[in-house]
Amino acid sequence: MKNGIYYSITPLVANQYSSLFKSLNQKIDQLFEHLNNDFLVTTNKVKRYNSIAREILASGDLSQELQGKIKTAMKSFGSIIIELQYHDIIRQKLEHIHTIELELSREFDAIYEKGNKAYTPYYTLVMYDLVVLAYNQIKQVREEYLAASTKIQRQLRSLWADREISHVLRLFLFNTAENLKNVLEALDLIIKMHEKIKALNVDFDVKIEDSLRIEILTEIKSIYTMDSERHIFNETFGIKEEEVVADEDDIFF
Amino acid sequence: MSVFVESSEKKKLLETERHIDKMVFVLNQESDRLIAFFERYEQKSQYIKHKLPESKLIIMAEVLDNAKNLSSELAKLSEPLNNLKKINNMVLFSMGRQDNRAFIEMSSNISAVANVCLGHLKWIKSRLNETFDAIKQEITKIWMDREICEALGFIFFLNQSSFDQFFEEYKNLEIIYADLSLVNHVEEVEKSFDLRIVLRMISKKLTSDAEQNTINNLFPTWRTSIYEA
Repeated sequence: MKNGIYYSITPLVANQYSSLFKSLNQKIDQLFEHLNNDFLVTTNKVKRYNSIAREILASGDLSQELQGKIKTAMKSFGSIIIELQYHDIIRQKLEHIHTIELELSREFDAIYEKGNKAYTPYYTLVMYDLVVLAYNQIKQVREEYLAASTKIQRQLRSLWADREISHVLRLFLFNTAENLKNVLEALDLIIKMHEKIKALNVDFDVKIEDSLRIEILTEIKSIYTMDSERHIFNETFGIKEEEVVADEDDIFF
Repeated sequence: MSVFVESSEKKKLLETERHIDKMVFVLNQESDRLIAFFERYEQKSQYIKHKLPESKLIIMAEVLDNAKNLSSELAKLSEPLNNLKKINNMVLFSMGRQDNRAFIEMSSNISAVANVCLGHLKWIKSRLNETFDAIKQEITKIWMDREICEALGFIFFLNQSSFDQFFEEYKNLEIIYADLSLVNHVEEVEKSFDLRIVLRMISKKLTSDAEQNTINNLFPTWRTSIYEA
């Protein structure tokens, strides 16, 4: 045991895991693309509807009732634009997972190339902790995405349902379902892969002192910039910490 | 035990062929290009003999000859890449077959097969990098000698975009094999017994000792089997 570290990682495991973490990051990159499409499609449409609404209101040739409806619709568009900020939050959370898994991939690459004796990994020593953590973070991302996306859909549907509004503002149904499906499929694949890695029964023998484990995990925690991420971290490792009351911390991060 | 490999896995295996073909194409093309490049300088060296002393002419001839030989090594990497295709084809062939136990075991142990393919792929990449380094080391001998360099008008460059394409295909292939390595169709109890048969079948497709070393490295005890006798 060197400095309280004992580890024996077979070439088989190092070979497989170095590539598995690359694969996971490639799936995250694909997810970024789907999220970006989803964001662009919805943002562009909503901004367009909003400018049509503004033009029509400015023309002034409207009944009192329609004016009220258009003003309400404009409020909905504003709230959708605010809601769309969740994309940025999700992107940042995924980037944090990406960063950690990139490090794991590099370390496993080095173990495979140099062997156990010539190279001492760092993050790999808590690999299973990190996989569980990433799994929990992504599950949370999925929930957040679904909640925000459903809220936006609900608002859009209620606007589409008003025939007068949808006629005046030229609201056309646009295909968000395809984007939603792509994002969810990508998220589910990443979740499933983490589940499989957690469940893999491989020859991965690592023993480290608790103080080192805590040191590495604390370093990982410092990567997180959002309270909700730190909350998941605390939940994952059973850490009780005084909650900081900040309802909108994520939105304005 | 689920014996049959899912259709998505079959699709992934079929996809690997396309990536391997592109990698082979780049290696052959760049090997030919580099050989032709060094041959041109060899021809040119015939016309500048009077400009250089005998000792430098010897160094120049040696460097160009070595660089040419090393360039031909690039094309030779096509063989281990094509061996990967042979393994893929064997797994593909085994899918859906119920009449031959060995083939059923092959598709059941797809995770282990993918692991060997990953190791083999990394070995090919390290060979490629070693060859690049060796070529660079050789031509540095010319670069470092101002007199030879000027007399020969030596300018060397790699076709970077071509090798970028190679590494892009490499990345795609690595990800496919990594994903396949997560597939587990076989029960734990039967694993070690069946695995040896599968590794034996794969080792027959990896023709050189150096290639077979990948299997020995990943599964150090696999040869201690009755099937090896």
